[in-house]
Amino acid sequence: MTSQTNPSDALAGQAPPDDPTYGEIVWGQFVKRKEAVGSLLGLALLLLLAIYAPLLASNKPFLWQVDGEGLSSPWLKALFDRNFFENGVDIFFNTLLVVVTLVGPVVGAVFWKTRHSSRKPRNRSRRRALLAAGALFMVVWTGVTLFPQQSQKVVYPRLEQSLQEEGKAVMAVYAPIPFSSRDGDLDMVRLPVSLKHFLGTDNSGRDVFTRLVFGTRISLTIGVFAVALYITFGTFMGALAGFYGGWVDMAIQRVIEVVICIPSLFLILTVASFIEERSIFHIMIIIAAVAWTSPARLVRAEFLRLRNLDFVAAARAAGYRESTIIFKEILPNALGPVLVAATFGVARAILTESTMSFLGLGDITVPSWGQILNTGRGTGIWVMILAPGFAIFLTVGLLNLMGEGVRDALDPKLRK
Amino acid sequence: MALLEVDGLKTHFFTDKGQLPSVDGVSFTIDAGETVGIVGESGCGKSVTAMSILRLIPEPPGRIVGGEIRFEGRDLTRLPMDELRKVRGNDISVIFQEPMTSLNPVYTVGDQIMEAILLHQPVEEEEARRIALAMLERVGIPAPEQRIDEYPHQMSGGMKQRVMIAMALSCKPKLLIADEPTTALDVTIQAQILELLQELQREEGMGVMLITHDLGVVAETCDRVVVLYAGRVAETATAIDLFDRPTHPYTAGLLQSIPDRASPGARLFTIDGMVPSPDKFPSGCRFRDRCTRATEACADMPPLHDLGGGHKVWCHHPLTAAESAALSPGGEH
Repeated sequence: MTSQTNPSDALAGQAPPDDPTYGEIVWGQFVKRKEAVGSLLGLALLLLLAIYAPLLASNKPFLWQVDGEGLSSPWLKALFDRNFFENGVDIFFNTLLVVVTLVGPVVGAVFWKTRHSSRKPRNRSRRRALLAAGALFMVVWTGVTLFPQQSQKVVYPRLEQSLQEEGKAVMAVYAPIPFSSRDGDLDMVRLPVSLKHFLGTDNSGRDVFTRLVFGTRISLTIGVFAVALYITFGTFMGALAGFYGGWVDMAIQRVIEVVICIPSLFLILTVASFIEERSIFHIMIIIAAVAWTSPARLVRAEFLRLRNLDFVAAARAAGYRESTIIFKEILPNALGPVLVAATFGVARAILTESTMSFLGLGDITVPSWGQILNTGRGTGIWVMILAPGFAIFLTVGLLNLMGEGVRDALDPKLRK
Repeated sequence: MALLEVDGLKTHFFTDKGQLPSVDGVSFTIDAGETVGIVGESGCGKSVTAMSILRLIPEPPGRIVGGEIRFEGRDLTRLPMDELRKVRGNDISVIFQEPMTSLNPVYTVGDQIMEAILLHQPVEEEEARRIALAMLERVGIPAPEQRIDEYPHQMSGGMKQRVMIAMALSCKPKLLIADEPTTALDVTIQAQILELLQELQREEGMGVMLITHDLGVVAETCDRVVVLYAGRVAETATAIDLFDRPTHPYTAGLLQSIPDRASPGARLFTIDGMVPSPDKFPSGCRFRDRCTRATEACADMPPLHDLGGGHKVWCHHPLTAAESAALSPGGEH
């Protein structure tokens, strides 16, 4: 009798070779929404802006030549210069700039070429391309971090001026906006809006537009990393609570309740004021410390549902370790709601950082949008307040739109 | 020596209602190559017994409080966890009732079978995939090369159960525990799956513990039967003996309740009442509240009647040979 297949099995046997996977179904739902796709594109543009910020604004010339000899590129040298880009975030993004420029086209080509092939080989070659890119990034980044390069600080526009006064022929090609986000010029304090300074300059004579562009890096980093940090921790705690139940659940739940009880803004401000030299990494940790409870509760609820399903019992019966069951068998099934929470979380983290910076409890050495807002407030020039406010509004709005798109795409009831 | 010897197994649950004796002194054996049916109504302790064998009872609230489970001479109740994990899925496999939820929705069926193989066998991924393909082929899945990369949601219930069987058998277990493997499937698929199980059992020579409440399934597939009631063995016999000569009033009741034995239009026979919940088990014979033959004597523990040939009954008032004969299918037709 086993040789005969029953009709329904035979029918199912004729299914097309590539039925959509869960991910493909969700993606299909996501791209159906205009605002979701729009927000994703907008965020992609913001990311590109963050990566290629030095190409848009830098006071290091791309090309530099004095009296027709010694052609050099101070811009390229400065990319990994710790005196110019003091901050780890900038080094990170500059590495990204180099890697994306070098490998991006290759990865893109692989994706484009495999778009019609069937799932297995496509995924394999795509994964390989991404892994190679990731590996290259890690190599460059580790190298740059381990062997910091520090050259003398040169203000090229000034140097150019004085050289020209000496009567030397200087050839210098600058970025469209020849200013640094960090180096101020005390001769140019609080300049009004002009064609040279799109948004004027602040109290230290720094070009506000440049700072705004570089602020994209800071704000996106804070959003993404803080969220990655607390999603990881919260998911872990929620998974333990939901899987083991009993006293483990009891303990974790009580901790969560205590954290939730404390008004997070006050906790953040209190903790921040105790840290002497706040870097944005402190800020991320503080944000993560109060926000991990919501993914923890989401994951816990999912685990409570999933742990009673037969596939968990089957995994146990097959002899899997508990850690394998928790993280490999159950966790991937519990991540849907976490993804939605993460998208909204990035927006919230950016807002929190802006709030802290605005209240003077941020990292004053970085041009985050909250910092720009705060310094702008000191100038009393309205564009300097409005511009960073608008940047925050735009990013948070895009992230929320995308979060809604992800949420709707994951909701099977909304599928048509 | 039997492959599996369950000896006086007691699995109790510790809850707010107190200590619930869900399984209370169950003993039976399974030999290699033998199919033993565990029969009883819902709530009589069939699944708890099966899950106790691999210590899959959630703890707390459950705990094995007594008895031994000897598998190839080793007591599984006292085995350290890492030793037990090597038994699970490798020496003893389980097939669950609900194929719809028994496969992990986020992995392809091939990945899931390969994972199980890689866990227990010293093979490379390529080889594991080959084994997985062969297993899918053997359990009668059409176009296995294509099916192996599919996700569970792309398959019908019958197909999923076949995949479950493929996974359970991929490490060539010596004992297969099938917990109502066909209950969730429709009738034609049920027959196919049972036939498949029997066929594979014959080829592999493994012992099978088949848990079911369907006496039709028992008649078709089992060599021996253990009838459980309220956490205790009521009667155990070869399948032929059991249907020929049901001796415990409960077994008799179960046999009488098979629908196709009633003539058209006649009311179906039922055993009045339900299996009491473990906190309300009566003393002595636990069946006495529902038994038509019960007397005051039944308040004491029922005695064992050994009818020979492995046919054992625990009852104060077992059916006589004549009464059994009137009930058995042979006696009626």
